[in-house]
Amino acid sequence: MHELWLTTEAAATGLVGWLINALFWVFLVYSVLAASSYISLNLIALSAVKRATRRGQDLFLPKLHEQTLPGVSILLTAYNEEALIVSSVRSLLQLNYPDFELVVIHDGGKDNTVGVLVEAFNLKKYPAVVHYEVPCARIRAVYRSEDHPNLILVDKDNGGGKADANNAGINFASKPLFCSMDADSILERDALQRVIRLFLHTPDTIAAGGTVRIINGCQVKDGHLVSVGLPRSLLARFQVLEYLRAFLFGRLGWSRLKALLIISGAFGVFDRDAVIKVGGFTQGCLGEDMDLVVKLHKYHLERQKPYHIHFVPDPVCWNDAPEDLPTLRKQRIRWQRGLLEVLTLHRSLLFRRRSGTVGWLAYPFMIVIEALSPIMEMLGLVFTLLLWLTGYLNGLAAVTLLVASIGLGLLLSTSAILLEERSFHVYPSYKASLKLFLLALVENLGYRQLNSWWRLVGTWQHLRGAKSTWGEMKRNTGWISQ
Amino acid sequence: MAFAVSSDPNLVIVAWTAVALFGASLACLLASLLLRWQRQREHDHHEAVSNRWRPLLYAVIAGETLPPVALPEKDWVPFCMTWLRLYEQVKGSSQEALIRALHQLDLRNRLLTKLRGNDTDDHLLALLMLGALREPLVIGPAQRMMNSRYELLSSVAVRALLRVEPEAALPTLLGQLNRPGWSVARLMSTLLPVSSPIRRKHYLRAVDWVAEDQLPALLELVARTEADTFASVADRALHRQPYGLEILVTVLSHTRVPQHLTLAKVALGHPDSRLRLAALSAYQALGSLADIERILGALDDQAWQVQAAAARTLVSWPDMTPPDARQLLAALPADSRGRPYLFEALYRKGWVALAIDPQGAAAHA
Repeated sequence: MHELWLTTEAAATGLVGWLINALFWVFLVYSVLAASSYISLNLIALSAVKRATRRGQDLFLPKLHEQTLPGVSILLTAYNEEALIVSSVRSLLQLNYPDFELVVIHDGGKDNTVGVLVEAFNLKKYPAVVHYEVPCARIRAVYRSEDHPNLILVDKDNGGGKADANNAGINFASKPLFCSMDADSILERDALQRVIRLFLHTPDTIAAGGTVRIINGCQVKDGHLVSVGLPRSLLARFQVLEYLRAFLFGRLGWSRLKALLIISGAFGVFDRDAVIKVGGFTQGCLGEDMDLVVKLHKYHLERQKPYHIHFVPDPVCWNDAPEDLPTLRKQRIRWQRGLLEVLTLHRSLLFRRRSGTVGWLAYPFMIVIEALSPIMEMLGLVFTLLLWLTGYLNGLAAVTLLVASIGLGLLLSTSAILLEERSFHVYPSYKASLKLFLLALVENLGYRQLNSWWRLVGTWQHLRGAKSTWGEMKRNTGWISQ
Repeated sequence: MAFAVSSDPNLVIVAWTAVALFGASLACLLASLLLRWQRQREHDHHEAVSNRWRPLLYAVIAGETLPPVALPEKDWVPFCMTWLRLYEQVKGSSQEALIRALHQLDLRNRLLTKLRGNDTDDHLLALLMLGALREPLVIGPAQRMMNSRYELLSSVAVRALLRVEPEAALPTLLGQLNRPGWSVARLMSTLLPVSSPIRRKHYLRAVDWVAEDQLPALLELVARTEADTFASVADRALHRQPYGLEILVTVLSHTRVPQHLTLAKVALGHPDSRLRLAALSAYQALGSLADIERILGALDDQAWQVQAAAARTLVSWPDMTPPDARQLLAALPADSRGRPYLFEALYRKGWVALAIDPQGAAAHA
């Protein structure tokens, strides 16, 4: 093997030099593998985006008649959401959908979430009979409102995380479909109709997710999005790019390959019966959204039952992104731990017979590319630094490789910006596109590395078996106008 | 740098790859900006065409003749979209006037040519326009496209068929019931625009010829779109399959025919809880205090869903009064499985207060 990366002194050390060189090739091959996987997903997503954004869709799509739309239970989990919960509930109660109920699950937080809801919506205690079809912590009380007959508040003991809260909601849901959401999410008014259409027209659909976008920098009034803009904070702007990459080509691409493993907890619609059959969300699981989808895949693949799990790029949910480092750090560590938890829990799916693209493509990708990437990135960085310090490194080669790596990251981000422009072009100005491009450059100078570090911390915590918690998320409410 | 990299071909490859990646990124940016500019231009063009044609089409609706105006090829798509949007907004003679305007523009041949091409956008527009024109030549292509895996194309093809020849299209569509891609919900939204007499006629015929596994789906479709016809269709379906579990479940779930209570009475003792639930649905719609003993029995069913349904049934009867209901609750044994459900049902009706039955208020199953 050609000793490309080493100085002649290092190359002269024989076996050690050979090993060091081999390691560099491993990192290079890994980068190429990761890059080509993402680029392939890009290309697959491109064809799906074209169909989803065809001009004149309003003319071509069959009109939805109210009597054809199935009922939906919207599950809104709330833990210390006093600041946002009333506006979230108000916004959701105005959804343009004929048959829905809103189940707010208060997960035993320390603030006055229940108090503000009771007052705002004239809620009263209600003698509901609880049937624990899926396991959840004890239900303390149930409230209903005469003013809003389709609003239910479930107050439960804390424990089991968001998964447990969702399960409590499922136990109270009376409609055939349920939509799990975050308390800080704003749904576009017809978002639910757009995703439900899939359940109507593709039989055997058991789950569908929609795009989640960053609401920071936008303006919301009375629960409606009135203007869209880029966030002011640099941290939130980086996340805009990340969300574009993750949702526009990541999930869309996997959905086209019938191997979607994640539907965001911020906005996903599920068949209630299908979820009950797999035991609901796994209590205490940090990656509860991915875990549920993987369980659904496993259940149906094992039984060779026809099913569909979709990602629909068109309906949009707007979510609040962390704007401070500690909150973002907590989130990224939790995401990494959630990912590893799920991959470990369901490892039997990997290369399983008759598991199709799920077991043979998506699962290996998640392990090799998603889960291992922070380790590989950090190892590569540390390794390069060590070699440089010991004088063994061919600096020019390393710099060239680094520049190529930055170029690859830039290409992935700019192709996401291009896809965004090709499809939903949500950000209205030329300036926004240019800003996003600059962000795509700048994110390689620290933000990406910071994320890798946090994900590494998450990996370490997972390996150590450290206690997993959601923690408290600091919310921004600047985008709300009352 | 040039001297250093030229000595190693692999390093040259990496260097050029880096350049290519940056170049491709810049190309993506430029493409984004170009797309934005193109989209704006297209939008402006569409607006201009729409602003030119809309007043002319309104004038046509008002009874005026369309002046001799040419429709260049580049205006074809925005014109069609403007026309279609207007067509969907109006009814009756206004729609006929718009169709006459299309004939005046002699678009029929152009639309047929677009339909024969390979462009999906053209197919979609042509199908809708030719459907509106009730052009018989659209039937063949529409029948081929109705089973397209692309949902949009399939839906538009079906709409065209239903516009041109609903009588011929309906049996074809009903034959798709319960087949891949054709759920009851999908057929519902497809058939709702068809006139009720035509639907009824075909439903009554279909019950005799659809496959047996399609019968429950047909019943569901009829119950949700032509409730008045449900009784006749249900009787004929039961005649074909008197012991079909799915048929019985569907019939009892939707029936408003008092004679079906005989079936419900038997179904209430069936081992399948779905059938017991369906029976309670029938009792909810048609039952009375005379059936109370049977429903009280269901209140103690093994399945909690049946217990809850029995409670709801009891409070739904017009001849059940609040004092009777409260008396019923008081008479139930404390360990009755359905007691908490009955309390909840009464509370929902406003017939009891929480303080009356703290045990019921805190009941967990």
